[in-house]
Amino acid sequence: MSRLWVRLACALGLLALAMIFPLVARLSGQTAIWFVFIGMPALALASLLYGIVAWRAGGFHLRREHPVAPGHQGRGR
Amino acid sequence: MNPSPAGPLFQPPGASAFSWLALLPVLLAIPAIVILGRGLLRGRLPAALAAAGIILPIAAYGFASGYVMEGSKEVSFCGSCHIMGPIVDSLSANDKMLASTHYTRGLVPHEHACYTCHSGYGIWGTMDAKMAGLMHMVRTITGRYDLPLKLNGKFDIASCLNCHAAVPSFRAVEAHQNLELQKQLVSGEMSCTGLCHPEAHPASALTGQTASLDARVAHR
Repeated sequence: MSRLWVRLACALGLLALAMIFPLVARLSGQTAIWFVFIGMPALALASLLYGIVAWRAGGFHLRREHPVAPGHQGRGR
Repeated sequence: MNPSPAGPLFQPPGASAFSWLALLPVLLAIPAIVILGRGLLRGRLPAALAAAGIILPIAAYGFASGYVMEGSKEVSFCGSCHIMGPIVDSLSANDKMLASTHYTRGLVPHEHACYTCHSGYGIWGTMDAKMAGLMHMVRTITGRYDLPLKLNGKFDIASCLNCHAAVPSFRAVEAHQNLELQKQLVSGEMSCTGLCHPEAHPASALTGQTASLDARVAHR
């Protein structure tokens, strides 16, 4: 399921990036509108979506060592 | 006589300079497209690529936004929306209106003529102009504008005074020396245009009539 969300985030990111090329080729009101009202929301949504997927997969969780019980010397010591 | 003579003398300095601000977003977007394309095909991304896949597009958008902010100061940008076309065309008409007088005599920077007068003074003037530009986009998309076009609010006289205030010929005008009149002008109770000076733009240009494309192309 998470692969689907990653694919969707990547597709939205690609859509956002696609708005840059007409903008650079010919800066006009129309290309600026595409950039601001299609590209920016698509990029924001892609980042949010990927962030949620990564968070749910534990990407932002701090990995803690299991505390060693007092008196326990650990394996192999 | 050739109406549009060519040659380096008729090019403003830096007009043919390469725009790095236009290239940087593309340079950042290309690797980002490769990374996101891989993510789209495989449905997953290694952590390092995922980080690059987020940072590169955001950086590309940062530079592209700078390019838009800078490029949106140009007259050709303002005239690219059909509703503004007639106003931009009228600048070259030399029809004794205030804007065309400034434009045809070179009293405002030719490339940034609209921005020079409509952005106000200082950093907040720039901020206001950008916000107003964003609202122009919204109104263009939604079609929420009335014809004839009207100035939103009062014209910021600081844009005029930024150039005129220190000019001896401006100071020498008897009417300008009247303190009561000065207060009314600065407070916005009274406008420079109308009674004393001609309107900025011809009324016909504010009705959104179809513009001649040639005049707009000449600005680019």
